[in-house]
Amino acid sequence: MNTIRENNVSDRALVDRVLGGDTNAFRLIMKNTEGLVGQIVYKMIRNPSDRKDIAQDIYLKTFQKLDSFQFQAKLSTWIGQIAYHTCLGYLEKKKLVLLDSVTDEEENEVLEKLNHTVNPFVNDIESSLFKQELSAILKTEIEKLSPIFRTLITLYHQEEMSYAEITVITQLPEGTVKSYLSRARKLLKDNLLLTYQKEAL
Amino acid sequence: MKNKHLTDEEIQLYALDADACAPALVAHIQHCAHCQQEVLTYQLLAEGIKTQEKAVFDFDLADLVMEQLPQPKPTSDRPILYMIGGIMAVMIVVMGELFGSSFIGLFAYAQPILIGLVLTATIALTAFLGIDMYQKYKAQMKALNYY
Repeated sequence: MNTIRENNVSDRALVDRVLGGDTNAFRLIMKNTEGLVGQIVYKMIRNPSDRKDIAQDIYLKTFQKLDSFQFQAKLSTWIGQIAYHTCLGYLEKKKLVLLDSVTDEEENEVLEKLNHTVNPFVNDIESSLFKQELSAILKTEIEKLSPIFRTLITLYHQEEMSYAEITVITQLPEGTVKSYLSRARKLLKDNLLLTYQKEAL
Repeated sequence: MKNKHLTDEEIQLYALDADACAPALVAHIQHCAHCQQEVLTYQLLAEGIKTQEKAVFDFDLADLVMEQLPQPKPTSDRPILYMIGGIMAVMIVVMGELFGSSFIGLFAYAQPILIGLVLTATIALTAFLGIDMYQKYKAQMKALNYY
C-alpha cells in the first residue's frame, strides 16, 4: 500500500512537471517506462520498422493524454495500457491473428503423443546444458504463440506483474487473463515437450 | 486426499503458488509421481520464461519522441504590461478630472496617520492582486503553449 502511494507521489510529481512545461520530465517518464513498453511492443509486433513507428506513437499519445491521467494506477501501468491498445489497434487494422485457437482434435493429438513418453526433463534438470537448451527452445516456442498470449506470458512471468495490473493494461476481465495465461502455459508446455522429444531422438 | 490426477489448472496453480492450493490437492501431489512431474515441468517453464532475455528497443526512442513534442514558444510580456499600464494611466487621469477637487478636500480634513494607513493598505492590496493575477496569467499561457 505504501509502495503504491510512494509511486503515485513520484508519478504525480513527474506528471505535474510535464504539465507545467518541463519536457525533460517527460524524458524521465520515458526512461522509467521504456522497458515495459519495449516488452509489449516486441511481443505484439513482429515487423521491426512498425515497432519504431508504434513506439513513438505510444509516447506521443501518452504526452497528449497526460492531463487525463487520474493516478488510479501506476503511471507505468497506464502507459502499458496505451502501449497494449496501440499495438492491438495496429494488429486489428492489419487483420492479424490475435489469439491462438487450439481445436480439441489438435489438443488430443498432442496429448496422445505425450502420453506415450516419459517426461524427458526429469533426468537432466540439474545440467546447465539442459537449461541452455531449454531456454533456446522456449524462446522459439514463445515466438510461435499469438501476440496476446506472448504478451500475457511476458507481463506475468518476466515483468512479474499481478493479475490486477495485467487487467488494467489489457482491459480484459481477470478471469479471462487467468484463463488465457493457463492456456498459453499449457500450449508452451506441450510444444516444448514435443520439440524436446524430437530433438532427443 | 484427491484420488484422481489433478487437472492442468490445478497443476499450474500448485506449480506457481502452492500456498493457494487446497490441502486435498497438496496431499495428492505429495503422493503422486505423475502429478509431481507435471508440476516440475511447469516450474521449469516458469523459470525458463523468467530468465529469457528482455526485449529492448534498438534505437533511441526518447530522442525520436522528444523532437516531436511541441516546444514552448518564447513569449513577450511587454505588450500586455504596456496595455495594463496605459489603462491605469487613463483611469487615473479620468478619476483626477472627475473627483480631483473632492480628493483634495478629503486630504485636507483627514489626519495624516489615517491617510498613511489607507494608502499603505491600498498599495499592498493592489500589489498582491497584481502579482497573483500575473502568476495566473503566466501559468495559463504556459499551458496553452503546449496544447
